[in-house]
Amino acid sequence: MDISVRSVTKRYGTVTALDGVSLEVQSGSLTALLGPSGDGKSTLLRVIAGLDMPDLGSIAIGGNDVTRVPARKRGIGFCFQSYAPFRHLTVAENVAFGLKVRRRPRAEIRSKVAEMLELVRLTEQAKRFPAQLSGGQVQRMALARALAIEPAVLLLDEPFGALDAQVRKDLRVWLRGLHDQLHITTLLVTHDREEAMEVADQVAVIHGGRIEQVGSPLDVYDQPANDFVLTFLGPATRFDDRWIRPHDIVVDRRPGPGSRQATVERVVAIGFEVRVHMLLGDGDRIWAQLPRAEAAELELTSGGRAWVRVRQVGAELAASGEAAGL
Amino acid sequence: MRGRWLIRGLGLGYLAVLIALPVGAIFWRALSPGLAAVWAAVSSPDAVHALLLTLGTGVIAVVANTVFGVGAALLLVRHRFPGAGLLEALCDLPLSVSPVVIGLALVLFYGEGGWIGGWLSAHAIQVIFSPPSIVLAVAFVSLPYVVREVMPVLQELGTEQEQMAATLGSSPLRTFLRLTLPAIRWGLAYGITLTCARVLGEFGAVSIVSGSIEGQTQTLTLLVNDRFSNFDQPGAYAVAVLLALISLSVLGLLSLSRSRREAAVR
Repeated sequence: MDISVRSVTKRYGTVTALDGVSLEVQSGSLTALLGPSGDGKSTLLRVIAGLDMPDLGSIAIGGNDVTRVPARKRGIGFCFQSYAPFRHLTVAENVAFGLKVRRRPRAEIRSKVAEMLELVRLTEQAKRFPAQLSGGQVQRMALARALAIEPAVLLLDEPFGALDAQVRKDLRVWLRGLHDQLHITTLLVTHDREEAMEVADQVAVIHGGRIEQVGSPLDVYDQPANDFVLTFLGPATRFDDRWIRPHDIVVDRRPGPGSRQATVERVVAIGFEVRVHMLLGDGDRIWAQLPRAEAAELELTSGGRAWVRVRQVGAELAASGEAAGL
Repeated sequence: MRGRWLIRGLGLGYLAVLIALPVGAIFWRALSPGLAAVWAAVSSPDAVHALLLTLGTGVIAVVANTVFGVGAALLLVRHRFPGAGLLEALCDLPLSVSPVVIGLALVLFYGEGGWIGGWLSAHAIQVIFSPPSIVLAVAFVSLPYVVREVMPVLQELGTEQEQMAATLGSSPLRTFLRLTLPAIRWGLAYGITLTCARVLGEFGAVSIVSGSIEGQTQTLTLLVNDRFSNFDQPGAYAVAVLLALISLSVLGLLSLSRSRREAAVR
């Protein structure tokens, strides 16, 4: 079911966590709410879940206004950043909790729990307690617990935040696969742009309690609405008074049409990418991102000369212009 | 190495001189006249009445303070409201006020000529010098323990599990019974144990409000004191040992269930 957030404002004392936020999440989509820490992402998720009440605005799920409906009657699946496992219950009892609340017949609960544990690959851990699981397993248990009640929408608050890098990457791929299998409308909060780009169909960039831009991962990366979105979604460097992606700077050994002369200051190789830090004639500093092979061909050394120009695709945005932002 | 032994020795010596040896002495002296004499001393009508009175009033006070304590702890930990500081201070008050003062305060309030004593006697309700006063006195002195033991556990627990339960459709009552209560159960059990111990052992406040009327308002502690003052020392020792055994069994019950649970989890 779709989620519709209309002009929601939420204040905590003098702090405005959400400032007139509107957002449409299409039915069956996986949308990432991306933004820096403390910029209102989690608050928006909590307001949608009914754990916090908005001061202004409304929330609709599947076309029904639920603004005044308490959390326990919204039928949403929620995962906390901490996963909030029920510590004194086993994995199976955790997953069964929402079903027992709904007074489902015992046989139905048993088969549903088995199905959910199978889905999140925790069948063998059914009788363990949360304290006996790894972080990734607790995360999957929390997901199974939320999914067991067959929620209208799934809300995930930094679902991979508390896990180490490799587990994060595996779970991301797994979560995307799960979504493709279940097609449940999912809103996921993250501060990690790579995570948002990799997992989501739609990315909503939130900053300072406002939605800055909503679009597909490529849209927001290539056509950022403003400087904030541009700099938050990927590396950026200033060139001719505008922000530009470092991989959109072409570095050459010879002058060409529209190119400017620069002095190479530093060449840093990080895995397959090479970062070239340069000083322009007017004293500005920029950096470019090149594939390793290309950098090797150019034989760049610090102190050497190079000519730079902007590649004619990708993100370009005038810093002074209609674009609001930094 | 030697330092560690020294510290252990000092600790054990301190406990022995202060607690273990005097308590041991009471058991020794109480049992020395023989079991028949001890049984006679604790099964006399006044002793049986004192035992039943102590247990009866104690149970009421413990239940009341358990319910109040959990409620007050939830209120203080989970909510901000005007007067929270005052409530917290009042919960600690019984710890800092002498039981004698508490007894006098209860007499002044509920007694003949007291603030509401007149109204009470007009409705033929006698509080002071009757069992209800004992309930009031022991409930007063034992009030802080459940609140104090449960509060830190609730703080540690946080609210996310409860919010999670709400999103799963659980009502506040169900969430409390299925999640909050199991999570705080050991803090609560410890608080109840301390409350029981305090209730069973209270002397000062009870002696003032109850009047210590033999066979009517005499609790076990008052009976011990009464017999001791009337030169029935073997009788006093026997009842004292009975009192100690009841307290010890409450403590024993707690540690038994605790070790069982730990064995189950490991």
